[in-house]
Formats: sequence, C-alpha cells, structure tokens
Amino acid sequence: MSNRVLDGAPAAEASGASPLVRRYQQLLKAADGLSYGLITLAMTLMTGLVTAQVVLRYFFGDSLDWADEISRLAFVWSIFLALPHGVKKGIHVGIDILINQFGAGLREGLMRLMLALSGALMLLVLWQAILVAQEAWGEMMPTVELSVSAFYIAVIISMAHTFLHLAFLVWQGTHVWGDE
Amino acid sequence: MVLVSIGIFFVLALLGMPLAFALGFSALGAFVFGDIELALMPQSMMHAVDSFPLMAIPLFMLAGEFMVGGQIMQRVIDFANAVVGRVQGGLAHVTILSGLGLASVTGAAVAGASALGTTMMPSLRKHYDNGFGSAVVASASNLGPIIPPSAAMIVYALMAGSSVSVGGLFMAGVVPGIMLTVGMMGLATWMSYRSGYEPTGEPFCWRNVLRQSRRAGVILLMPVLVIGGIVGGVFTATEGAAIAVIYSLLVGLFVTRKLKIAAIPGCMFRAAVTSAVVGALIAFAKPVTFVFTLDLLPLHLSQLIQGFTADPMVFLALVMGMLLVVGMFLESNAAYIMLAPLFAPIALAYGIDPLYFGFLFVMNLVVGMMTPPVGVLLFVMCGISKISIGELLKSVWPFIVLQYVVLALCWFFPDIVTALPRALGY
Repeated sequence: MSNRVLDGAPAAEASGASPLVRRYQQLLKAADGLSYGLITLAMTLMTGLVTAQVVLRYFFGDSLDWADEISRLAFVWSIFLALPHGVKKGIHVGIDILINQFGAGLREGLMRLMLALSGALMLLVLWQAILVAQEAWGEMMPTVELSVSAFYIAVIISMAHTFLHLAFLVWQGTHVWGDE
Repeated sequence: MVLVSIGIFFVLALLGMPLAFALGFSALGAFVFGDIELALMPQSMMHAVDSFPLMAIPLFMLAGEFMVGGQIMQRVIDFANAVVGRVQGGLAHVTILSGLGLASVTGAAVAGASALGTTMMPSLRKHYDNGFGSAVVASASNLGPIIPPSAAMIVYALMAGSSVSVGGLFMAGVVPGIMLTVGMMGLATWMSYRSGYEPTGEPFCWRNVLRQSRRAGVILLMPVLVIGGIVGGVFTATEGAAIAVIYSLLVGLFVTRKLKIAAIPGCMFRAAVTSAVVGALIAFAKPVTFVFTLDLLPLHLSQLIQGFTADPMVFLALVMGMLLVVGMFLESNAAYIMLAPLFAPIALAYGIDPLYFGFLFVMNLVVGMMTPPVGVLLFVMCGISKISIGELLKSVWPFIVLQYVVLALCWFFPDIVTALPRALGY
C-alpha cells in the first residue's frame, strides 16, 4: 500500500525552493486552511442535525423536514472537501507491489506519471461537474429553497483542489510535503 | 465496455495509481468506448456519496477520535487491567479487551490500530518482545470491522442492495467477534507462557475491579446504548453513530475532562479525511458499476457461474477462495465496492442467506487485511512499532491462523453467524 507521507522527506520550503514554488505552496496552504474550516463546519452540521432529529423525534414527537437533506449535503461536502487532503497526505490506497521492484528513480517517475494522469482525470470531472451544476441550477431541493447544484459545487471544489495538489506533487516530487 | 474498463483498471492500479483514480479512469475508458455521456461521471459520483447510511462511517470515526482525544480509552484500559492484568500475558489481554472496547465504537481496523498502537505500544514494549506486542495490537484492531458497529459492514450492505440490513449484519458479527476475542486471549496466554513473560498487573482485587468499573461504567455503557438502540430499532445506524459522537464528546469534555475544545476541529478533520479514502473509492467506483450494469455483467456472471455449478456450497467455496486471494492483494473497501454488487445478487439466486453470505464476505476480506503480502494492518503496525514485516510475522502468524479457523467455523456452522440476528428478528 502507498504510504508516501510517512517517509519524512523535507518540505519544498525547507529545501530552498524557488519563489514560484513557495508562492504555489502558500496558495495550497491557504486553500487547505479554508477547506479545513469548511470540513469542520460540515461535520458539525451533519452531527448536529442527525442528533437533533433523534432528540426531536423521541422527546418532542416532531422532526425537521429539511434535516435529512441538509445533513446529506453536509456529508457530501465533508467527503469531497477532505479528498484532496488525502492526496496531500498520500493516504489514498494503491497497489505498490510491482513499482516497489523498480529503482528509486523509475519508481518516482512512474508515480509522478500516475499522479499526472490522475490530475487530468480531475480536470475532466471538474469540467463535467461545472456543466452539470449549470444545467441543474434552477432545480430546487424538495425540502429547502436551495439549488441541487449545491451538491455539485462540492465536487467542483474538490476536483479543483485535488488537481492543485496533484500538480504540485508531479511538479515537486511525491515527497514534497514530508511530515506535514 | 466491461473488458476495457477492467483492463484499464488493472494496468493503472498495478502501475501504482491510487485505486480510486484508477477506478475513475476505468469508468472513463468505458464511457468513451461505449459513447456514454461524460456528464454521468460527476452525477454518479455525487449520487454514490449522497447516502444517509454511509454517513455513519465518518460519525463512528469521529466518536473514535473523541475517545482517543478525551483519553477515554485510558479508563477502559484501567478497567481491563483490573480484571485480567494479573493473568499470564496480562497486558496482552488488556490490549485485546481494549481493542474490543474501541471496536465497539469506531468500527474500523486501521483507525483502531493507530489509536490502540499509540496508546498501548509503549507499555507493551516494556514487558514484551516488540513483535509480540505489535501482533497483539494488530489482531485486537482487526476486531473493529467484526464487532458492531462496523464500517466494512455498512459499505457492504450499501453495495449489496436491499437484501441485507446493516443492523442484521452488525448482529451477525457478535458471536464470531466474541470467539475471536476469546481465541486471541487464549493464544496470548499460551505465547506468554512459552516466552516466559512475567505477570504485569497488580494482584486481582474485587475492590479495585469495582472501583475501575465505576470509573469505566459511563464509557462501557456507550456501545450498549448505541448498538442496543440500533438493534432495538430506536434509531438507525447513522443516528446511532451521531449519538456515539455526542456521547463521547460529553464524556471527553465533562467526565474525563481531557478533551480540549481546541482539539475538536482537528478530530473532525481527521475523521473526515479518513472517511474520504472510503468515500473516494465509492464515488469513483459508481460509474464503473454503472457500466457493469449497462453491459448486464451481473446477469452474465450469474449465468456463467450457475452453468458451472448448481450447488450453493460450491459457489460459496469459489467466492471464498477468490476473496481469500483478493483480500491478500487488494484494499478491502475497494473489494466490497467492486465485488459485492456482483456476487451478492448471485448468492441470493443460489438461495444463500444474505446475512450469512454478507458476513463471510466481510470477514474474509477483514482477515485478508492481516494476511501477507499486502495485509494493510501489518504495514500500519510496522510503521507504528518501527519493526520489520519479518519480525512482526514471526509473532503474528498464530493470530492469522486463528482468524482463518474462526472464518472456517463460521462457514461450516452458519448458525454461529445467523442465530443471533434471526433471534432478534432480522
């Protein structure tokens, strides 16, 4: 299984990276920070709403019509927003039995090629998700005055953020984040 | 389309692409080859994750994070130590019982190994060989997907369709989970005796047991409340998971008082990122399963297998054999997602009890997580304990054999799996 992040290689800034690399890294860190806040918010909303439904049902004989839909929305957001953080940490599982037989240079090259292809996939899904979100913009959720595109916006943000991380790993190497 | 899809997946996966993205490419290839609208990619990905039952996974993970962050585990460990700490291999027994306690909240093996390894390994290393300590932690962590709640069973039930209930699968895991726990404790005693390990805990004392049970009571009540609520139909698995989150949060904040408000966002973030690994697999696998359905693969596969044998036991043996091999090489969640939608309907057509089949399916892959060459738990433990896989294997193999023995018993005596859920009305 892939376990890239545990190797403890130096981060780009520590290895005297160029200003462009440092700026890109700052951009990624800002995106990660924003995404961290949104994930926390989504997880809080999800837990709060599901618990509130149980409490309302058993103690007040009532329920919120929109709680199910919004909690699912929060779940979709939390999962898709967390996906790029998994890429950064290198925890998305893969089979590395074969590539571990190769020399370090070839292995790194192959991993970068796979990440580059993955980046291309993210761009394609991003483009298609934008088209789907545009098309569904006028369609409202059954219980809330909110466009169903809200679900696809999570996919759009996730694919864009994941692409940025994949591009950085391809550009700077798979050990660039080290222990971060 | 199916052949294109499978071909692309295997080539990219073997070249080291993360499995989730290899699945995405496999779907893309089939979409292009079959001239299918590409807009179906994000649509099916989003719909795959937009699932209320699936929400239980990050919530149980979050409850586990709060348990670790609030040092709730320490009280469970103290309680286990008071009960079994003095017997031969006492600390190993404490680890196994603590693993059981953790399993009844988090439902995941890797997260459990990380939590249990970090908590128990320093003490285990003081008294035992590093390999033995790591073997005990890995085995105890593997109770996570067997003892309810189980993230693996939630994923399986979702992928297998409406024939199997999450609550029923949870209950199917209780008796085999207890058998595994007792077996592991027996093995730990025998191995400790052979290695000449001295007893580690304080002498058994009823007063201490009572004191520790009072301290741990509020924690031990949590799985009873949550699992009891799910099985009793008071709430769904997802609602039970949310209750577990609130419960562990309150215990961490007000009972142990070790969980800091500032640590809560970090717990939420880690739970989300861990769940996103499964979420990504599910999202990218959905367009692939759509292609399989479009090409009538489940039907063709069913006809092929039924043409080969009409005997359900032969079919079961074939599936078990295949899962044994798959489990050794492929991450278990990827296997549930890709294989459960194909084989669960065929098992139903053979008249095999869906709970029985589902449990064997899950347990086979769970045992695979500890089986070389790609036993993910073994690698996680090597990372935590800083030992080589060879050193770990020297101590862990009896535990692996034990798990296969219990799996075989469940296979040949279906009542071990089905009696409890049937008695409870599933």
